[in-house]
Amino acid sequence: MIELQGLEKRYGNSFAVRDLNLEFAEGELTALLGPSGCGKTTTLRMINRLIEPTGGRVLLRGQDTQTLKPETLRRGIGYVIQQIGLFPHLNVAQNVATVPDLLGRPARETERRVDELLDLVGLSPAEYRHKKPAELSGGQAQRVGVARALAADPPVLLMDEPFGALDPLARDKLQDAFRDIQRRLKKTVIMVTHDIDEALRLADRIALMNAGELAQFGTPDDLIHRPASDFVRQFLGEDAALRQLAGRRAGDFAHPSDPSGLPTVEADLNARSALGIMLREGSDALAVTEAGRPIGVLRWSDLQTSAAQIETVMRDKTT
Amino acid sequence: MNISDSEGAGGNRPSAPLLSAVRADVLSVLGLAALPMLAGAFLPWVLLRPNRLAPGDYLRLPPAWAVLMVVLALLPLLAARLLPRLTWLAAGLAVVAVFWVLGLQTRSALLGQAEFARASAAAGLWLSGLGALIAAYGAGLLLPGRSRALAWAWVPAVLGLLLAGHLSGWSVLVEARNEGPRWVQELGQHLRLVGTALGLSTLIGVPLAVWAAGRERVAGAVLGLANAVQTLPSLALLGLLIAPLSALSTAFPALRAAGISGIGVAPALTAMTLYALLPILRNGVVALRGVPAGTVDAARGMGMTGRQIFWRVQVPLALPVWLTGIRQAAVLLVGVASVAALIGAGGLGTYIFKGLQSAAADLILLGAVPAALLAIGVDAALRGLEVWLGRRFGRVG
Amino acid sequence: MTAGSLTVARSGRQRWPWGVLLWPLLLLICLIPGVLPRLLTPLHLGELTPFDPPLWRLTLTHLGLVALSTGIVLALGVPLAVAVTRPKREALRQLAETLVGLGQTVPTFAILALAVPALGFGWQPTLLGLIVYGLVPVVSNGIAGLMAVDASALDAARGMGMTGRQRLVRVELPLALPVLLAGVRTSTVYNVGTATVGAALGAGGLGEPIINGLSQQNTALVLVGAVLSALLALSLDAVLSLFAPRE
Repeated sequence: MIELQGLEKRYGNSFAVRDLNLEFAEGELTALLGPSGCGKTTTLRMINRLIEPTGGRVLLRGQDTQTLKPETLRRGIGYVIQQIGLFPHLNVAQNVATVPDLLGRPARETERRVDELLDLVGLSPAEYRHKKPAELSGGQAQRVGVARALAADPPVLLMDEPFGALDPLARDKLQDAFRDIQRRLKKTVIMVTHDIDEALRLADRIALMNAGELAQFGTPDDLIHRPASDFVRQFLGEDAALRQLAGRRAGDFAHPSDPSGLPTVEADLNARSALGIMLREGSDALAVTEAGRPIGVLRWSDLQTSAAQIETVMRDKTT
Repeated sequence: MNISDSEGAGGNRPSAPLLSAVRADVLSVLGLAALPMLAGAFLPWVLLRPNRLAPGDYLRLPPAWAVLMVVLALLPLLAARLLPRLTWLAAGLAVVAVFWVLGLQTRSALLGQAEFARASAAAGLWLSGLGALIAAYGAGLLLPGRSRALAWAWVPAVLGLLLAGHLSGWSVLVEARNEGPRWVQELGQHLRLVGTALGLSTLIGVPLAVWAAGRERVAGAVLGLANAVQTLPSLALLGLLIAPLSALSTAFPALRAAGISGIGVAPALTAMTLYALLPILRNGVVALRGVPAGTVDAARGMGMTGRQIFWRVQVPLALPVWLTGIRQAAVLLVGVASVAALIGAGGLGTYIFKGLQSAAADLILLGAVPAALLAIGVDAALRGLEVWLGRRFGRVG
Repeated sequence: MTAGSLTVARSGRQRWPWGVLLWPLLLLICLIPGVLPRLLTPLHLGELTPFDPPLWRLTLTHLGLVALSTGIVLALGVPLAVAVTRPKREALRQLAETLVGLGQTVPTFAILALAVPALGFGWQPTLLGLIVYGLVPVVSNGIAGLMAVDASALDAARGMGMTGRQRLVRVELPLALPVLLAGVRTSTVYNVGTATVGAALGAGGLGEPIINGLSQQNTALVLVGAVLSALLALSLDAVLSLFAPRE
């Protein structure tokens, strides 16, 4: 869908991004992960040409983006930023309708689309359509931000730390909501983040960057279990496996078995918290229920599979 | 956007501007400055009249001098391109040259003329001067903080030209010489009016502001009144304030004997004092009420008495805003004082009105230019005081 | 102005603000021939001969000068504020801000008087002075309003594919509008006052009775001009408050 070929941005003698080669697959969410100053935002902004590269190419469906007018290119790409950037003088509906308006879509169609999108991001259109951005909480505002980015139904969505400015509770809820949206819409999403948990939780693939260069590109499992370098291992941290558990549902690990007499958890609880409950309750198994009905049992050993994989990989490497 | 992400870029960070990034827009300022200078080089510089009221002839610069002015117009631009460190010198040179050429041209125009002939500056000089000053301003932007004073290097040079008598042929200075001690007297009167009114209104306004700031309703009324009076024309206000005074003096002849009447220094001072009271009062109330409640609470929690809280917390924190009010009052007063001449209070306005009455542009300049410079000087001096005091109390600006 | 927060809250948004009509109404009453002299005669401040030109004529001249200058100020000031706030024009903006600061500092009367040698007597130097002086609040508020536009909103606008002109028209100007209009209000109201000084340059208007009264020591005459120009200023301020909040 999008291909970066030898992409480079230099300021004077220093490189913000250097010889970056990446391919973002259609319908996948790729996280651009890395410490601050690693060039991830610069990379993102070179894709919609908010920053012009000093070298290399960006191909969108095989077409060099330099052949397009920047405005035309950007209108076809959704854009969500940490500071949200809603227009304070326009109401929610007008904010969401911005790009369809720029594209000259008929007003009636846009109006319907706006309601659809507000529903999609979990805001009741009747209640929110006419509110001004100042009347929204941070979480609500960013929901509008996401709706605005999706308004013209762009195949590609660029997100720059979209949930970074929210409080932890709102961030969790919005991440969940966005994961659901992404499951339904299957957009090609590129998301800049420095939050490892967020990347492990949402991303199909992670491009980990360091000092303007690509450190590793792969699935979350690849990065955790097969780190390409010490930097990758250090950046993900000793508790990377735990972090990954945090991104999975307890229900995904459960096996059908007799749950009687075991402490009970909801299937939607994340696996890391389930592990915590095991430790607290002194039990090596939990009964998992979904909507009040038992669906199976989650055992300590089920969770260990991934940890065990790490050990085998490490053993293989050292021998 | 994540600025830190473009590490080493620098261009995004206003705190560390790249020299090359600034230079492009300073070049546009220098270009803008060159335009009036280029136009000025080809317009008449001197208006020569047989006496100060008669119509006269406009004289252009001799070709050699015009070429020199063209070169000087382009010099700062050229310097910024080739030797950016010396742009200030080029621009300063242009300013000094404008005055120098003015001196030469007026004196040569007066050669062989009768005693009452006057050589005034014309459009060419004004445009060239304007352009040169803008160039000097632009050159100042190129200098790093410490050495920014170099952009003002032309000031002592121009003062030198003035004191050396190089500009003695310029009609404005001829008038000044004729007026001589009287002009100095009017300037002194102007300063006295401003100083007295400012002193009186500060003496009245400061305690009044402290009193009003503590009372919700009074504070609201003071601010409402100050806002309403601000919309009133100053001349109208002067008139309105003089009416009761003159009514008093008509009703009680004894008061007239004591100097209270609708005309002269007393009503002017009264009106000016009341006028200046408003910004001082308003900013005082706003400043005192703007002291964060948390800070006052913390001071109380530490065991400060009311008096200590006032002197150690409220006054230092309120001072910068308050001083701004006093500065605004002072600048306003310089302006009002120049109108006060109308009611016989004297001051630089005397020359403006005299000039307007006799259609003598030189007299107008003799009053208006010093009044303008005085206002700018007072503003700059009090601004400096604000910064100094702000630093002393741990605030910058 | 920071003071605004302390003044009494204005009436609710839905209600038509009848108070706005108070000052224009008073002004109109005072302009009815004979009303002002009758009010002032009992004060024994001076003779009031019938006015020539009549007072309503002076008021119209005054209003005309102010309206014309405000129109020109808008036509010059807004593009100027826009031009100097474009990216990479830091130095031009600083220059504009410095000049505006100077305009604020230099006495009005001096500005007006300095225009006389260039333009001669009459309404022309007054108009020039009014334009120069009126540009100050419009340009400074325009710059302040445009600079205060949230950088993230602009980044989002750019990211959504707005061109520079679309960003200006759809985002920057609407957001800067309240501050800009407050500047226009200040500019217009102050210019009512400045225009009275213009009478000294032969511009006519409501300054004429004031100046004549002051120089003839006829306080009644002064009062006529002062009351009318004050009412005109308050009327314009009230009317403009419908469009523009105070700074």
